[in-house]
Amino acid sequence: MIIDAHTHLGSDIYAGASTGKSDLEDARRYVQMLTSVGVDRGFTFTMSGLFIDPQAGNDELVRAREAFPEIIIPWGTVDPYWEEAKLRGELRRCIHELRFVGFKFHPWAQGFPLTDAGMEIVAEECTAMNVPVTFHDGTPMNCTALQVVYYARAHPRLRVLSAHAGLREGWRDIIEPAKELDNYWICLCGPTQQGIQTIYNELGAEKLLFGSDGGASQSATTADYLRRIRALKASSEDIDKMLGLNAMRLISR
Amino acid sequence: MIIDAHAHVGHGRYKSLSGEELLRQMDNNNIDRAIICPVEEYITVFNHQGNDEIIALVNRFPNRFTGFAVANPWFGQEAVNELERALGEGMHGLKLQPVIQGFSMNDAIVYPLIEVAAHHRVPVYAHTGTAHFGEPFKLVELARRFPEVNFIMGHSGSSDFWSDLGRCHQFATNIFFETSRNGPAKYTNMIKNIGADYIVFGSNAPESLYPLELASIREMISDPGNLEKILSLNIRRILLEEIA
Repeated sequence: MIIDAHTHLGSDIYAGASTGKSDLEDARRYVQMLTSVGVDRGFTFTMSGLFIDPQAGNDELVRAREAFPEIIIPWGTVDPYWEEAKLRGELRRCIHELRFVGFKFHPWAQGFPLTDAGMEIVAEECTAMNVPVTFHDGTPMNCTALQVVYYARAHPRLRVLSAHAGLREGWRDIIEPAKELDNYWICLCGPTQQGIQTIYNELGAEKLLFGSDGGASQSATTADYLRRIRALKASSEDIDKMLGLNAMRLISR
Repeated sequence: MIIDAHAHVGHGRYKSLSGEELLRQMDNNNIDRAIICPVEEYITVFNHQGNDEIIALVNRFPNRFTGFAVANPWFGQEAVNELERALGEGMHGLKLQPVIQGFSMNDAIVYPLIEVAAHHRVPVYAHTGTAHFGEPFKLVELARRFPEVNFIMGHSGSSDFWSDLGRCHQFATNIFFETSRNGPAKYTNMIKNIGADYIVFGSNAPESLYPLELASIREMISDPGNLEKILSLNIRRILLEEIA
């Protein structure tokens, strides 16, 4: 089974969509984009929830999952600036009521630093519920690769997935910390091909995940990252781990 | 014809690629020509040695390689002299890497080198995409100060400055946008906000693989005319057809 560990549901902001809001037609298009290139399931993140209204974005994911339960694996989001009761309430609603598998954050789009007090509540709740969190990383000021590394270092019982492996230039920063941190996982959606190969060579396959950041744009985005994983100098067993087996382990509770 | 507008050759701390190996990869992927420049420490410190290696390769394979020289602006007059020397010995452009060379592209420290490029009527390639020193608008500032020079925006601000490209193009039409470190979604944005006349294909070898880069570009650029512009015509235009 191939799982894309980084996808978004919503309209295409690269094509000029301003809100990222999604409806069932977007969900159909999302599923078609993934399955047309051979992806079986996706870790599905909201688009609109990162930019406008987290709760509404979470509800969009529920409707999409109801339509395509065999494809969509929803991850929720929250705003860490909410007052504590609301923050804890939405975190718990997403896992206990909506049956999401984790939480996605985009600190530069959502506009908060990882040291914000609300993110301590997120860590506390997610650790207690035994669900992972994932962060856009590789971008100053709020989410460099190392800022995410240190969030993981500060919360060793919380599984933290780097959503971009530090992007084009931050990927070297994550290699040594990743050797040390058992709770730090890496989605290979972002480094150069040389970077992806080096990360694999240095770390092995066990905590590396295929992801594309696709779903809201074109299927070519997903196909591009599939080719990048399959072009790695790696054993077929390790390729299989990166393409899906590790993703299932990450969300296993 | 396919021309790779940006590849690194040499053996540095992180990047290592010989001219012969790049030629082999070019042959395997029907790349006719590559613009090559040195790697890492030869960009920052050992400019003379790095340029000499590129000049030697260009002289050995004049139908396959075009050379861009490096000169760290912090070396002052020494950098100007080195760029003059390299251009006099057959280089066809200047490569700037403001992040590892450690300067702002809108700082007067780099103007003497641009004046040399303008005098020789050769283009200037500049790395972008890294916050602060690699900010695309810094290159726009430089390009507006030197409208007679053609600039190539290396990596087109990838990854997180993609939303600035349209405005960069709006205010500096002497900038061309190079594709390496981008992908399908970014190509869509570039075509929409810049247009095919200002985009050039580059690999940033050795950090990429030609088959992967070309597959994505061909998948996203369906118009044959636009594809030809991006893969060869635009860079030939920038180089004033000296390599045609």
